[in-house]
Amino acid sequence: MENLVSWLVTDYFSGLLDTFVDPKKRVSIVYLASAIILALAWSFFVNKKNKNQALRQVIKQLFSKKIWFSPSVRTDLLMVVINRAIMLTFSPLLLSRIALTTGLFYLLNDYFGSSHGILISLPYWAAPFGYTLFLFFFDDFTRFLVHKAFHQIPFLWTIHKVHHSAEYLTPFTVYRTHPLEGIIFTLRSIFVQAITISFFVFLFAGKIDLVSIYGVNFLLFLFNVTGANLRHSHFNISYGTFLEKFFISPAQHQIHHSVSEKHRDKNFGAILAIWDLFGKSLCLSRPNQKIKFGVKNIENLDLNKISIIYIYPFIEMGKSILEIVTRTKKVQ
Amino acid sequence: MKQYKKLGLLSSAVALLSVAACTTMDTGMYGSFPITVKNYSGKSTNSVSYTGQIARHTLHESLKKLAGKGNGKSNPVLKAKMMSYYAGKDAGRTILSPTGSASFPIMQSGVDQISKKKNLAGKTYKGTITGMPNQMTGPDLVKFWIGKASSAKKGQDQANGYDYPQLISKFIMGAVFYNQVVDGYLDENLSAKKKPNNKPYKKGAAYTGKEHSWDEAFGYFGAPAHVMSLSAKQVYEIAKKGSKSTPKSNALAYADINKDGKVNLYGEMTHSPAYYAASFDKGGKTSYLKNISKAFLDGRLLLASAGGKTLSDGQREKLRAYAAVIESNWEKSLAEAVFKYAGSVYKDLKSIKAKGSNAKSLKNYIKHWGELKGFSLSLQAGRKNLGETAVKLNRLIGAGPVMPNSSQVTDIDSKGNYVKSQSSGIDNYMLHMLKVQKLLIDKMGVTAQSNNSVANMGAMLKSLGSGAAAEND
Ligand SMILES: [Zn+2]
Repeated sequence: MENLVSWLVTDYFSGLLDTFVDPKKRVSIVYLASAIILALAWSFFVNKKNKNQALRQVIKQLFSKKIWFSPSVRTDLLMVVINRAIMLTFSPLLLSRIALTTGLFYLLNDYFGSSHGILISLPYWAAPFGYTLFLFFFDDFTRFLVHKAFHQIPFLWTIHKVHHSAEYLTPFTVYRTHPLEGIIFTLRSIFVQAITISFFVFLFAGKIDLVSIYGVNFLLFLFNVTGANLRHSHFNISYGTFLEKFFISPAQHQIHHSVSEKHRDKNFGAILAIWDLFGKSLCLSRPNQKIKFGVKNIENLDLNKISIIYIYPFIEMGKSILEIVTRTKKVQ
Repeated sequence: MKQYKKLGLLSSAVALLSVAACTTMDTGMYGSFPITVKNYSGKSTNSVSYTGQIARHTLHESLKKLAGKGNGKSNPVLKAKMMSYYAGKDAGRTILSPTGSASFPIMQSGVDQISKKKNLAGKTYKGTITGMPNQMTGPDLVKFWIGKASSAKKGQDQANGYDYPQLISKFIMGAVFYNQVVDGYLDENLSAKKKPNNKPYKKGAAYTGKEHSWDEAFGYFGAPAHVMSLSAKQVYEIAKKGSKSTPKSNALAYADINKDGKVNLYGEMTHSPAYYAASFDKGGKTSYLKNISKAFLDGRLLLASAGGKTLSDGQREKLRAYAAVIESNWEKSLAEAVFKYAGSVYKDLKSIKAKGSNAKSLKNYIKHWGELKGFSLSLQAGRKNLGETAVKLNRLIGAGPVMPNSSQVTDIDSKGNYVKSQSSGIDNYMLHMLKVQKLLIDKMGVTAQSNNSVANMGAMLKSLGSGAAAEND
């Protein structure tokens, strides 16, 4: 009991608070505030003639009873709280980041020993900028790949469907994910960090500082502070056809959440659109696009019910495994 | 009135008892222990003595000082002087180091004031030193280096990459102090036959065979007698004679347990093995100094309680357990030193590689390499053969450092000249240093890990955040 109390106080609540304070987290108060400012700016830009209406529209959106009191958003918020506890319990069991990083580092030295420290005499800024850019691109690319896999591999879709079952999008929808997806994404992040760090320490023979703002990769900071939270919102913000080939706009991500058949498997990218462009899954936004968010719900399940959200993916996975087993038996 | 008298009697009895308890029981100090030798007729009241060992610490420190005195030309006088400190028994040798100052006055200025006719050569590990060419024994190697040091400029050979004061000093720390303790005093001297506890060490001595053997081992470790009441940092500051203390006078205050205003090199000073153990412990991750000191003290208490009788098998078993603690902690502190200097060498090479070599960076590199090599040979001078680990260590470090032009000493010819060949370069040698550190983590379990060349990856990971978030798009 005492342990539980101290766990709650020192680990759980401080971590939960961190979610809203730490600039490494998407829904940090700084980014939420900058998102509101950008939403206002966007609205004034669109309604140049009627500034009053622009303001009213933003306020209406921000304080919409229909959105905030919907079962969908209630579920998002509950999941912020529940997932935090689950991840806190499981993430230490996953994989030692430091062991993987040093292991990879020694492996590089064993196979490519003669290249150790090969870039050491480059100008002083080369290492931090190279490291920060590589980390950003590699991180974004693997996010795209894993996300695409979540959509196209059936048993992974059963997990990711939880995220897409949101009928209203708010910044907190980023936490509407099944814990299994959280674990897979954590593993991805561990591999990205371990590979990048071991590789750069190997090439530059020493510690490299991240080019950062408030301790965050400056590119990630720029992404977050320029309205990343608007992706999960009802503000239909477009970047225009040129920029949308390079960066995923909020409107493009809203297309990704569309229930419509024509929007299926589009815009997997997180920050950059180039991966979708090459992968032929890019879909540019249209002004005044009206999008219904959610998934097709054939079984007519209550996808806002916590118990169904957490348990149903396991049942679906079991079903598909059983199907495979019976199919192979029939073949025999 | 009568009752008062009774009470007085009782309380004085209690006081008497407690005084008796004080003299025989643990005072927490390796200072004075009662005489247990039967029919002892001398005047001494203390059975502890390790003056010979302290004298050797001063010979070692002085020799190190002398090794840096060369002017770059052949110097037979200097060589003879070094030999007198290493292998001689001459009277009148002054203590060249450690020497006192106004803020840290030292009681003794001559070696004879501590103990006469002592040398280091007779106590140097006699086995073959496989980590250097030519199959030299321990004393051969020290003498070879003494010869080279006498004609080097300020102790350094910048063409071949040798720093003789460091090589000589760090090697002696293992080949004399560590080896004498773990391979002699705490090994065969603990057997039933050797150094019996029911006889004086020698005729007329105030101590038994086992007592004296144990005390001498403690002397080689070189901790102050009151080490258990000091922190690792304080023990470290004593060795630094105030240069690392604020105010400077703190070091004297820590050392001078009898408050006579002077530091006695016997019992109040920190000497090199204890200094190194303390230097790692002050980082807070290890407790080599305390573990070793406590094991010595506990063993000495056991010997005192044996009361001059033959030790039972059980008692010897206990002593062996203390000895094992001393050995493993001492070995680890040497491994930590190898680890630390492999990290220094790595850093030096990195800076040479990035900025090119200059007089200062080369000097540092050669100095650190000397410490690395000396300690790595010391580590191999224990009781156990380190086998594969030693082979790898010697191969990775080599017989000399890889110089910025990629040359490296690989052999020594019959006339004692260095033979150099072209190595695979400093990049590869940096890699060797990483491998040395990894080897020591894997095989020797070093934990203080000063200058860990890969620790920075942990810091980099930390700056990226845990990544354990369920954030998704
Ligand atoms: Zn998706």
